[in-house]
Amino acid sequence: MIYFDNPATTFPKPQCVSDEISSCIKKYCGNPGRSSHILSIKSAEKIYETRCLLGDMFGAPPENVVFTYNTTYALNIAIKSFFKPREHILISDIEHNSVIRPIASLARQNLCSYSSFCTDGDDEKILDNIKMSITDNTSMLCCTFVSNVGSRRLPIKKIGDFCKERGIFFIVDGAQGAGVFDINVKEMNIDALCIPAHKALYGPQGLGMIIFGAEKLGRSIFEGGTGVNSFETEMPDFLPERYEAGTLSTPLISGLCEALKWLKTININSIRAHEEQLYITACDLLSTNEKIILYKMNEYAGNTLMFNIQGMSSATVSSLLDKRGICTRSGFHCAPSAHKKLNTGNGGAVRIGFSVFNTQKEIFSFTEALNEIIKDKKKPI
Amino acid sequence: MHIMKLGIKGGDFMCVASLRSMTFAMKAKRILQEKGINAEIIKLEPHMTHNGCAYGIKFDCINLYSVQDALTKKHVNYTEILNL
Repeated sequence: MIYFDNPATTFPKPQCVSDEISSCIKKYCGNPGRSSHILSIKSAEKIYETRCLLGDMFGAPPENVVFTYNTTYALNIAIKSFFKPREHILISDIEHNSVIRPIASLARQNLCSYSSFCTDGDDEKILDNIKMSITDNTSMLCCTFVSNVGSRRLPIKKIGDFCKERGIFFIVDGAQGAGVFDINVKEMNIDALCIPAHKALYGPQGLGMIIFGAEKLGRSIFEGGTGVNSFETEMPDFLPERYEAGTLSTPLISGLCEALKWLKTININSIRAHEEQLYITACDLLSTNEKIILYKMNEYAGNTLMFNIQGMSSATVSSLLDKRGICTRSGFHCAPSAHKKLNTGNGGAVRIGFSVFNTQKEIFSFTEALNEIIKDKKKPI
Repeated sequence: MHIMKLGIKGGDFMCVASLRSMTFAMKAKRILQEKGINAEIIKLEPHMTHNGCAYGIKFDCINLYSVQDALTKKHVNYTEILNL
């Protein structure tokens, strides 16, 4: 099998991830932060170690790392906790539904208004677009670090600097950027970075994080047990417990912990260089077939490559690849506005993306499979 | 700040710094470990807390000033340091 659906979730995971999850469940999975017996402390230590690793990676103190179920939950919490009633939220025109839907929902309830800025042009042009799009009551800007459709990368540091200057709360959807690019919430003036464990951090599914740039407290979104301040009916007024109601998943967090250690030994820049080579090879090979429409950026900006075959739907192509043992993803990738910009708003596109485990040989096999599919299409029935 | 002396262990008084969460108890423990100070995370007795469940770190009172200094320098706010 060849697995190229890594932008959706990386597969396989490093062996250490499943080993640690299994070990956690078998050996030390007490309830973290609820008791003080040996298993509870061991679980809490593992979770704290993971907070430290994430804090080091993204430039925040460990207590600013909040665990959630996934990036979508992280974004929902960040958006709904910090939006200001009746004020304006600015997003980009290539956002994932995990950004658009929670904000549109708030707008439908007349709790806020929102609009989008255009991501065409270079970094300065994008910044100009943002400046033109903000209003007197824009109090939040939420955008992707790099798009999950076509790898459009936004100038996050520049946007962060601008937001800081204007006192705008800045939320970044780092679903496709975390583990691929260096992200530092402090240096980039990001207020809340929302990321998944299961993509380029090579951790398990069912786990996401908010990395807060500073200890800013908004309204709590989920309420419940936290293991502290039990007599109070409000959630604690400090991080991370304010946003962590209920028992955390020690097995998943322990798996991520080992994934992060493994990533440190390899270095994300080396992984990105490897993936970039695969991306270039894929672009070169796919470009040679005139039946393949390639939607590629001028420069490598992340781990997704989109294409279509003339006269075939993306779903059909993906299905035929699957029959040849190649995993890809077709359709709209939960980002219809990004597809509109790519001119694939009607049928979507096939998306491939690479991980550290993919090889050049797999790219050749994939290209051969595509060429076969195109040849077969030409054959009379 | 308060310090709680928990009692006598081998002739030494034990102190407890009360922290706002398990996360901060973990942070405090690591900071003290880096300073070569042994500390143990404990769940505080109900009479030691004001708001229900809370955690603290227990250490030898002989290290009291070093503990206060280390935690303050790293901006770890302990709600109380208690001694008995």
